[in-house]
Amino acid sequence: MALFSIQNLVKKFGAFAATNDVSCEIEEEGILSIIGPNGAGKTTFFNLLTGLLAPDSGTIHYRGKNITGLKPYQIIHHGISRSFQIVRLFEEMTVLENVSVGVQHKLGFMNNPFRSFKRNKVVTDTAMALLERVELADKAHSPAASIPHGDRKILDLAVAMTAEPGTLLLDEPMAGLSKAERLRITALIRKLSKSMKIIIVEHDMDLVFGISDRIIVLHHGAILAMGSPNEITANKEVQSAYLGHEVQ
Amino acid sequence: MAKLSKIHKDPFFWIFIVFACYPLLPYVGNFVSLGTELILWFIFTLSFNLCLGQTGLPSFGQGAFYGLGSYAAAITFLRVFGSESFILPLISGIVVGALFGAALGWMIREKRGTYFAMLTVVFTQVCFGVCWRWDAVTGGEAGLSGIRRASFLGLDMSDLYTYYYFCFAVFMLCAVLIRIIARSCFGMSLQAVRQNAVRAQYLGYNAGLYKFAVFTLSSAFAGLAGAMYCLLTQSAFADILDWSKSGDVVMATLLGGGTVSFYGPIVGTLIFVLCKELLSSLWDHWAFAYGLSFVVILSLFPNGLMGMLQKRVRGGSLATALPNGAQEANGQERTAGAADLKSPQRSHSA
Amino acid sequence: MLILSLILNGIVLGLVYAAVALGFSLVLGVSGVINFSHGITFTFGAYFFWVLYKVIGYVPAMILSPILVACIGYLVERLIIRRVYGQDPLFGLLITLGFAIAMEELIRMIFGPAAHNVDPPSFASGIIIFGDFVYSQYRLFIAAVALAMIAATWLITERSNFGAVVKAGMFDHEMVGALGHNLFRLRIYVMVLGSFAAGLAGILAAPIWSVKSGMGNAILMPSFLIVLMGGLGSITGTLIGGLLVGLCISLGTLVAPRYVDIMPFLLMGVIVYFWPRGLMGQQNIIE
Repeated sequence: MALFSIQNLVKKFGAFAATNDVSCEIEEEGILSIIGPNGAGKTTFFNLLTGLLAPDSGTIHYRGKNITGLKPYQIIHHGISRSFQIVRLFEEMTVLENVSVGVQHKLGFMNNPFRSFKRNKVVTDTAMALLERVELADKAHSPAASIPHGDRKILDLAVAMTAEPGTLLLDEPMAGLSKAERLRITALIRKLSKSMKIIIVEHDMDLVFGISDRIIVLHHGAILAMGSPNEITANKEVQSAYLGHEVQ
Repeated sequence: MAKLSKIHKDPFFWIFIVFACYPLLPYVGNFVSLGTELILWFIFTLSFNLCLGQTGLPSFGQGAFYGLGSYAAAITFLRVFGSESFILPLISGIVVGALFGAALGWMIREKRGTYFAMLTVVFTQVCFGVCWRWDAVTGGEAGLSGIRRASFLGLDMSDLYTYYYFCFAVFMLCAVLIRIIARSCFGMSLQAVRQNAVRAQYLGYNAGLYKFAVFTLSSAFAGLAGAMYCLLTQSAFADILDWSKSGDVVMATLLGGGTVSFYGPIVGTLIFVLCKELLSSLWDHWAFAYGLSFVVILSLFPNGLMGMLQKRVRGGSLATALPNGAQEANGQERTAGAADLKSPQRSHSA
Repeated sequence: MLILSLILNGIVLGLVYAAVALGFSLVLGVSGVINFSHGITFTFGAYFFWVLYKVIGYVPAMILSPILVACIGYLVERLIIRRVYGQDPLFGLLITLGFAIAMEELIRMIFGPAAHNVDPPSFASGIIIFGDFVYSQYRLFIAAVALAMIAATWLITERSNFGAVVKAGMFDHEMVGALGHNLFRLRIYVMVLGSFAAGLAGILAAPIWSVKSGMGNAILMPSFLIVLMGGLGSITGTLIGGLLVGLCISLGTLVAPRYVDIMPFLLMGVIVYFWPRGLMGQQNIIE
């Protein structure tokens, strides 16, 4: 059974079809990248998959369950989590607290909602373990607003991972990062892909072709091509529509 | 015993000392009912700050719950139990506050920002209108009077000092409860919803449900404060449902810096309410200065006094501490363009 | 006959409400500020007029006063409201509320708490008789001016470049960012325009409501209701909302005179339940 099974997905903004009758199956394993020229509808497609937008028509099934039109807080329970192009963190909290907020929801705190947050050792320990996994443990007590951009990107990822998702969607994980930070994130994504499905929207072609197992090319809201990096590179249509313009 | 040696660093300790000794203080100590009123104000602003400071709900309807609590207490005393009950009016204040809060909170839980604020204004106005007109139940313009403070657990509550200490005890209880809430896992979830509603939803938090819960909780505390105010003045009038009450509580909270500090609202209330009382007894046209003080406080100290203190200590910018999370979209992702628009404006308050 | 005159009264009242609510709605839509000082501009209009009309005559006073009010609107935007753009909505609400409280008290300080009467102008006083139905000429005059104001605002916002920019600012986040410097001017324009309209409405209302410091409060809540009922930024919606509130208040006196103030709120509750954005509302930036 496919992980995502998408049928005839349509999302219009006014007369403009940002996602135009997309149907595809996404398999269980590996790293999938979604690329396309600007305005091809990548972000809209992403937002439809993660419930930030509800489609006008069409259906999305995840592991056989219909998740069409579910709200973000419902979708997360199916095991889909995401990061954001512009990092979304709890800016007034520390790094550790950012992660803990996610962990405490995952572990469930409603049986005792009024216990002290700080003294909730299980949550703090789990959060700390996660931070160690992404190599942010040394900054655990810094305010989230004060750490460098690269670390914030990683923190955003860590927060998304607190839900222990089966699928993690990353919206432009490389945007605005230096070379060294890119390598760090690439390594992290590789590591994560061993335990979960990763879906990436990205402009950085080095990353996309270096890391992906499969690539979807979107153009004018529709799927232009889908296949392995080699197939995509060889695809004439893709070259004329996309690669010819942006990546020389 | 390490804990005891640090107790003087806890602001609660000082609030406790000052208000435990209040009736003994020179001059102001003579005005026990003013002291009682202050304490009720503290409960009220702390309850409000659960909404604003903790969850970022821009509610302008907190005065309504205070007023409804007050009417609930009066009506319970006069019409329902008729006789010597002290505790039942208070309980009914809490219940009525919570019920109305739950009803309003449920209706507007998915609304955000400005729209949320407008609906709470309208709610306050409806409550005011009904209390002002419904003679049969609320006494209309004449209000309700003739409420007495009956004995409670053998204490003679009709004595102002006894009642003062009762209110003081209730205040300490409420403050501890609210502090527990604020620092609990639940409180942290509220913070998360305030600071980034979209992210919180992607962690599984149903933001609307949390807003509803905190709104109900906060209204219950406000209702209790209102009920105790009713017993203090031994009457209930529609005036306290007016905008001014809702406005005062927001101003007091912001002046103290409720969005950045748990104790901010208490500090703000102390200054704001005392100045208002003093000013109104000294000058006929006090409302002029009172109104202008809104303008001055909001434009000069957008983070309140505690915000300024913390800023001096930390040297960091706290402008982001304002509950802009309330404006954070939770259905539609904000575009980069809108983010660019917001930041230069926010920066001039920084 | 009573019903007919109540309906007419309701329509006249509704038109005045709508004319006032337009400014409130524009400022809310473009700047995202709940402008509680909108009521006080209405009061200012009436007081300027009351001071001026004996000195310079009815028509000159009617032209000059709204201009003065518009100047105040300009100052309020530049000196006060500007400070709270982009902040929590309670900031805008409170800072304008504070200003309104202070100004109301200032008026009381200068002119005293008593209400003052203004005579309707000679060209519009007296009554009009249709068969056996009698109606006040002045009220019809009010209706005409209010309609003209609404029509003028409609022309400005629907048929001009300015209007296109206003709409862009209200309904499109990306456009707001792109507006840049235009937004700066736009916020001033809508404030000045709104204040002018509210000031003029204050003048119109002066002869029938009498001039008193608290008169602005009576006009503010209808503006709230009209925006919630009609939908933000829609002139048609505002007109419909205004008429609904006016008729509701006017006809409500037949049913339960004591609860007249509350009835429009109930109506609003019903409408907002079925149309969460108001009758003519679209998705906009304050949500």
